[in-house]
Amino acid sequence: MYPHERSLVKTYKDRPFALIGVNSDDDLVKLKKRMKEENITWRSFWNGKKGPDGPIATAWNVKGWPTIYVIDAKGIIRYKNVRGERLEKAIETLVKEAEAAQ
Amino acid sequence: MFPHERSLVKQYKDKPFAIVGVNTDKDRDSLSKKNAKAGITWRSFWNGEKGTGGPISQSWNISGYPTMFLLDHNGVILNRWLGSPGNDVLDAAIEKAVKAAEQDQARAPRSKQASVDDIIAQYDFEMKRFSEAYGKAKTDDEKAKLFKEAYPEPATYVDDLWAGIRRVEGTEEAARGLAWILSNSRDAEDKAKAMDMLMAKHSDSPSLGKVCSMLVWDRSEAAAKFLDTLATSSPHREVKGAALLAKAARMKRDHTETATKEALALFKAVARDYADVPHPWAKEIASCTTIGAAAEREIFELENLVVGKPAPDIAAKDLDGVAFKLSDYRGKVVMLDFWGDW
Repeated sequence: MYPHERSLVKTYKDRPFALIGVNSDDDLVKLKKRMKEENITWRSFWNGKKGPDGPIATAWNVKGWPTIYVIDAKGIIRYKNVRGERLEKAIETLVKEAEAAQ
Repeated sequence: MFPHERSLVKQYKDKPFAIVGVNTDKDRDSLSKKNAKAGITWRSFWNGEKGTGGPISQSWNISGYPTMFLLDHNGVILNRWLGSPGNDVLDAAIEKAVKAAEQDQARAPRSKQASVDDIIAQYDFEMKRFSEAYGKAKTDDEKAKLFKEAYPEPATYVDDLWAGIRRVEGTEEAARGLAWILSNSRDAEDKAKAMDMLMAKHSDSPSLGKVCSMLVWDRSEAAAKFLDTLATSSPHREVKGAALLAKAARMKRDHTETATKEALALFKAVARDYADVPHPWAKEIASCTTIGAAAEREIFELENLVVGKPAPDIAAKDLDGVAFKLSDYRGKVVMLDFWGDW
């Protein structure tokens, strides 16, 4: 996943797009070391000490990892659990939509 | 020394550890009295009437007292100390050796006569040990090596479990064994056989709550029938509720409009009727509290976390402890990614 995410962040650098994570690691020290190694620069909410069992993932009823939602510029859920090319297409469509509205 | 030895005996009471003495007092009778008075309960060889000149100390070539040997569980000498090495050194060496003995014990081949509950307990022990080690592993290589060497493969438990189940056929212990096979085995034949036996003899067992949630992703007709049977005829609310929850989750999994509607209706009935019933996984998974609460979350997902609905806001801290909100990013397209580096 990481290389794909890194390339998305790079591709949409100056456009109306943000990759936001909800991270479910329980050990932040270990995680931050890994983030440095993997060059993970995007921002994440922390799901807390209970890891995958924490409050945000519980509220969103997340049972599989990763779970991905694509939300448009107005805050509406537009895609759920798309991957690969379909994910790229989804983002491209919504970003263009957002730019047209600006 | 005696107080420390006494405390070691107490500390390792139920563990694979023993203090064995070789006593060099010449007078055995007065020694017994002294021992009783000093609270010396461990067993000693007696070196005979010649005291320190006796046969055992001679063959071990003992030159001073006390001399201590630490032997591992296979009888191999780990340490030899002339005079006390100090309690810290001694304690650390014993602790390490006892831990190694325990690990070997766990890994030791099971008796063909092991009981169903013992086999399941052994699996739980190995799984816990594996998970702890996996959590501590730093590199992918370490993780791969652990998987190869320490992962308790369910298939290696199944044959002994079947044998154990046959010995206690019809009992609650047999039901626990069958539920374990159905939950953990990856062999379709084993699973089908376990399901048949559970249906035939144990549909009233209280131990079938957990296995229901394992059947959400089992697409077989038999699994659907199994859940239906429990949902209608189990006398236990926990089992009944878990079966209904799994039934609804199977419908939701189909993603068609009709199935989703049916799933939603069933989740609503479960949320209403099982709000006070503990979830079968409550002890193991913190987010599982009651069966009703699990149904509520499914309802929330089906009604709100769907394409076309506004994303619920998230207000929480980031990985550096700085608070922010999902709605801060309004005006931008957001890819919200639930992830973990584990």
